[in-house]
Amino acid sequence: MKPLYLKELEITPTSALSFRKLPMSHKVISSYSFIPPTVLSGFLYRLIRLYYGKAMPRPRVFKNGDPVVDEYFILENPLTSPETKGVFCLGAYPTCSANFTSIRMGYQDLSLGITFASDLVPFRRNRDEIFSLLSNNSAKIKDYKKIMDKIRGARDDYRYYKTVENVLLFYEGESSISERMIPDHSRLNKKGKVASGTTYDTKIRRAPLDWEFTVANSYAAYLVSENQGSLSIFDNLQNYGHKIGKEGFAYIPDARRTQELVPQNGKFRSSTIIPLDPNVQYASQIRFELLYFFNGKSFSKGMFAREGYEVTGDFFSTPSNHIHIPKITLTKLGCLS
Amino acid sequence: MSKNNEDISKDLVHMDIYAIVESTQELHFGNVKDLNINRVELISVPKDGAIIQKPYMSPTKVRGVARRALLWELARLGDKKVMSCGIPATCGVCDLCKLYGALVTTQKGKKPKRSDTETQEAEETETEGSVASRVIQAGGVAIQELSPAIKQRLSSPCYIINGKIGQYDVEEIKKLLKERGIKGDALNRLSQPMPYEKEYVTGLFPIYWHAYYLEKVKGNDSKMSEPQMVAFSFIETLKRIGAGHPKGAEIKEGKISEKPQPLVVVDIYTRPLGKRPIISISELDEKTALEAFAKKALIVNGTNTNDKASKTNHITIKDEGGFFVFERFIGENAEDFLRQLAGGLATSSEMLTPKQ
Repeated sequence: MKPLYLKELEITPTSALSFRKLPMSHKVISSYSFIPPTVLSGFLYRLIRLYYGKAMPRPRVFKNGDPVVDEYFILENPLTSPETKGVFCLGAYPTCSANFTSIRMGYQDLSLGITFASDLVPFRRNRDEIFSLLSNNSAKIKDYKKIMDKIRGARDDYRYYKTVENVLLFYEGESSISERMIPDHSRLNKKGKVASGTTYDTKIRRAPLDWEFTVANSYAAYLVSENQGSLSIFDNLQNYGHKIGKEGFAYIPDARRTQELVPQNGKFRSSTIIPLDPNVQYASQIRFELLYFFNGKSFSKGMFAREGYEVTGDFFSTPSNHIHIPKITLTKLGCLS
Repeated sequence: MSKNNEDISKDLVHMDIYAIVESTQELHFGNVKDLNINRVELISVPKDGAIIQKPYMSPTKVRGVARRALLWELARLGDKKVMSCGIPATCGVCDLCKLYGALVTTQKGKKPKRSDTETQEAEETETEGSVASRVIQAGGVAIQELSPAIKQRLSSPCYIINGKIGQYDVEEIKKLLKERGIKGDALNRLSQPMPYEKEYVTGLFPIYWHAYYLEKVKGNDSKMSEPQMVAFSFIETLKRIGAGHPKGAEIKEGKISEKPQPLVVVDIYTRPLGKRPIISISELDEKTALEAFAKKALIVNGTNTNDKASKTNHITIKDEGGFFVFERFIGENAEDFLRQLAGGLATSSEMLTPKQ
């Protein structure tokens, strides 16, 4: 077996960071409390570009289909980063961290659509209230029966009622209200807004969201390679910084000396994430999280436990026995030849 | 790096601003949660194994203010492209979007017509999707652990009735409002005093701005150069920060190289040789934090530059070829530099104004 080398980088964030957790939701953005391997990899890829004075990869035109591998700008991808062949990121882990959730409003149109207030119970509308609103305006509604049927046929959803109420109020000054002006519930529901068909389309507001951030003073980032020389490029990145994750900025105050890893077996406290694997004994209270990782060809998803748990099995450690890296993590991420 | 392999031009620089600002009065940073009480947002910070809560001038809020300030200023200067831009519907083509980023989720514009002269132009102006921001706001975690103060507020209606100003009988106000065409719930809401509670915070907030790949030279049809836009939005944001009233923060005065001056550092560089004056989020003591900032501000290229900095507050470093690769403005000089740059005046910067 070839010897394995480890590079430890210190990463200092200058702000609260956010690494969007899987599975994604458009109402809640949760964050991992460590830097996932793929995020770290993309971050270091960009720092190397800064170091060489090269342009950043540009976001492409909005895609509907699956992304292609040559748009993955990470160290492990031979198509975009041939210089760092054989280098693998294992993520970065804080010594201590806190998570906090902020409420972000999204954008708003105060006169139309769902506002923040419509989520509060006193402002919610129910079906009867909408019906009474309709009957109050019945004189100028052309297809009164059709609209009633439309609302009766819709699922019971206070957001929809609020939208209908807003539409009715919006057209209050009009001499007549036609059925076309009232959006279908199904159309409204698809992506949180009306797909097409009414003049009201683009006016629907995004709902407020809970956005989680992770706060820490510093992170220890781990990179491994079987080729000692390919890790030396990271020594040059000292003091370089870039945006990291979904929100926030971090830089590298220090790059530690490259160390050779020693294979070992037994009980150890893992310094990195550990994949879910039938051959490993986990502590009973261990919790797993869904995580993206790059397996050399494409992105896959898998369950991983956080760092800091005690497990039994094969692992690699530094000569000082400070950092323990489980062998199954290396296998899962394709680091071993 | 097989893709996008082009080297960047020599006319691009990075720019960092580090400052400690203090709220000039109590500020409100909203965190809407309860009815009739306006909460402020607090951030959870790890400290000695526990978690404490601190006031927070969130970078996302600073960013919103900065972008608006810049939008208005560009519009005021008569920038034509910015007129079709806004928040949240960013256009993705104006100078502001190129610097601050834009979310473009659909292909914009029509397919170019197949006429020889037009095709070339249309291809150039067509948007390439979203634009990544080159300005990152960071920091904002207060130094001291001060609890927010809850204040009772009363919103009392005030109208001019029969030529007099003052508080009147509710019925009289209602009558006036009815004449203006207001009805329903709104009538009650607008005519009766509304008591509410509001939380405020004060304190010292370290804020950091990081900008990269800025074009030194102003484009022909641009109203501001990119470093100027960053400097302007930074200066302008300070007086506008905070929801409702009162507003505003000011750069804190402190001692750098034994001289009282504003605690602000500006780096212009192609190589990051300056120690970044970052204050630990777990730091609670004002004195220690300010000293740490002043100490780090003087460290450039691994050495303390106190002797040089105490005279000029301007440190420059050249590479082997004799080109400037880094310069740092400290304290008073940094604030002057930012204001000169924001105002479009000549600055003492070596990197932005290369001498022949």
